[in-house]
Amino acid sequence: MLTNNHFIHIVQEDALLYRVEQDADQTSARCTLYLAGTWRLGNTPATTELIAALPGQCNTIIVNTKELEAWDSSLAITLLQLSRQCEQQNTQLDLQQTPDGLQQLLNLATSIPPYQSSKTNDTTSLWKTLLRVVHSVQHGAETTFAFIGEVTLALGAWFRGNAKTRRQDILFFIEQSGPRALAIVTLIALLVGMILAYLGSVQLRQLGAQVYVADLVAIGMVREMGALMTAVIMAGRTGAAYAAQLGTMQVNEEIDALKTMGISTMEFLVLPRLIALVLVMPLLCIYADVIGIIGGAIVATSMDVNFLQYILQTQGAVDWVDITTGLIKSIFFGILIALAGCQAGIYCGRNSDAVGMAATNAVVRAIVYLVVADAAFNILYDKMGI
Amino acid sequence: MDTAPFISVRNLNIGYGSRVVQENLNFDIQKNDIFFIIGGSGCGKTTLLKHMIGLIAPSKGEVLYEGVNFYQSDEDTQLKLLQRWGITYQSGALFSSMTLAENVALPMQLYTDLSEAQIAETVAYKLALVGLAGYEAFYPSELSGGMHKRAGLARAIALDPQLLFFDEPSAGLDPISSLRLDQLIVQICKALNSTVIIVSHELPSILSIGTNSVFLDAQAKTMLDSGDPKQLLEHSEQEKVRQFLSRAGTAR
Repeated sequence: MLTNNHFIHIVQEDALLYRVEQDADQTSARCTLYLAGTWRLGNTPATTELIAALPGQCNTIIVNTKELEAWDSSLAITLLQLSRQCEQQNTQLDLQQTPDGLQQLLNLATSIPPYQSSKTNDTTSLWKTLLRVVHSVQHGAETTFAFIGEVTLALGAWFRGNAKTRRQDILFFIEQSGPRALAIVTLIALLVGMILAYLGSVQLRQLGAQVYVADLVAIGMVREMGALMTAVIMAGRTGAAYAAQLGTMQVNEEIDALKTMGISTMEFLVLPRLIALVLVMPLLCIYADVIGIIGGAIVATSMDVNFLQYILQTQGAVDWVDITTGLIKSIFFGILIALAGCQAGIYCGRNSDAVGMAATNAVVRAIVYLVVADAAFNILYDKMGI
Repeated sequence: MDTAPFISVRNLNIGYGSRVVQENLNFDIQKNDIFFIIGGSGCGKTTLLKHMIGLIAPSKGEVLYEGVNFYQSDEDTQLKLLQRWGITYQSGALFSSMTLAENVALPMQLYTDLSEAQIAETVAYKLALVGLAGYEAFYPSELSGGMHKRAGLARAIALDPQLLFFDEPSAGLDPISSLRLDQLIVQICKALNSTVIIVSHELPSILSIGTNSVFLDAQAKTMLDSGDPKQLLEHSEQEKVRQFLSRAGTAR
């Protein structure tokens, strides 16, 4: 309890930023808050400290700024909090003796009451988290099947010739995913061919059968690595690009615009990408096969195998069935990459983070699809005896 | 008023690469001006702004900030200038992966040594100023377009800038919010002792709060006039400027 007329609070040793004086007349229960000195952000008393300095039984607080030299947002911040506090305690805050600019800023800040957030914090029990995970997996599977269904319907419409798919779009995406991918496919296929040759020659040399390196490389490239490595490259290169393109279109409301024009996003956006990739993948696969075999030849000829011998051996090792198995794989891989990329893009959220997530999703999902599909194909071919 | 201009634009050509949008711009902006860049759609208002905020270097001419040429300064000087500017973009340009509070707090976290509690207080105040108190934990994607704009403004004034740039602040806002924003600009300009540069074609704003302006024209590819918009409305020698400011002579 204050017995003294004056209650002075010193905030800083070098400067007095505020002091509180209580009226001598105890019945009126008024007090005056004198603000002084220079109020700069980062150099002001904590608001809680200031509020604590005010006598509790006050019902009117008069703010006086006669001794104030300069101020910035920090003063408004403090007074805004003080006014909110006063409102809660039914105390009147009298700002008549403060600068006009400050009063107007505070009016602006208080004219719209704070939004009462209706957001509730979810209780994160283990059971609920588990339930949510199961639900999201289920939802993911549902959307994937729905997406595949819609693409199939659009493809049907395209074959019947009444899909809104533009030919120039297909050509554009063929150009993007085909010729422009040649350099990286060349590099990877050449190296994979060389790796296979090294791997084989180390083993086969022990048996004196180095020449069979040609068989190993040829069969390995044509049946397996040509298709798979091209697909992995395209998943990282084209699948991610599809997801980013469509995701950005989603963010820019371009997909909404298409929908409201009555244009099916499946026919207009997904089909050209899918068709382009399905057409390009087998070609890239054959190209990768050839380059891989050349890579193998480079290694083999440096290890006492005659080049001509290598070529003849390769011709004998590979037949049309082998080449076809690889091509069929590559077509399916193309479909899977396009589906993974487009689905991630179409269902992308509406901010920049979501686009990044869509691209990541597209690549991860495509690679999982590829490896699973490749295993399935190999089992199938084995059962068929080809 | 100090006679030396706060910002002076000298023989400035603006454009993208080899495409010149406006040429030979000359005008001064005084301290505490509320300066409008006026002109019809597509005449290069935003492009001029981009030249003034350090995004595009001009092909010819210069922009001086109290005598300092931004594009010819070293990195430290540029950074110091940038910290004294607050810029709001047409659509808010909020970082979508951060909440409103994090968006507004970012410049303070990077450029001041305020404590987390002080930053939180300041963020609450800045959001309250633009009428977004209580929205701290919201992500930009959960808000309307007008709210984006206001939140963008809260971020722009986070560091109490001396120079505030607005790109079409009231486009897409309802008349009441627009009026509020105008008041806010005037208040902030007074309270922070700052200078404001606004790209706009909203006549009510231009005529009520503008103290200085430049009028760009798409056909002439240069400025037609500059000065206090209220003066230009009555006394501009250019027919086109008077027409524009009086909405082609119709009663407003």
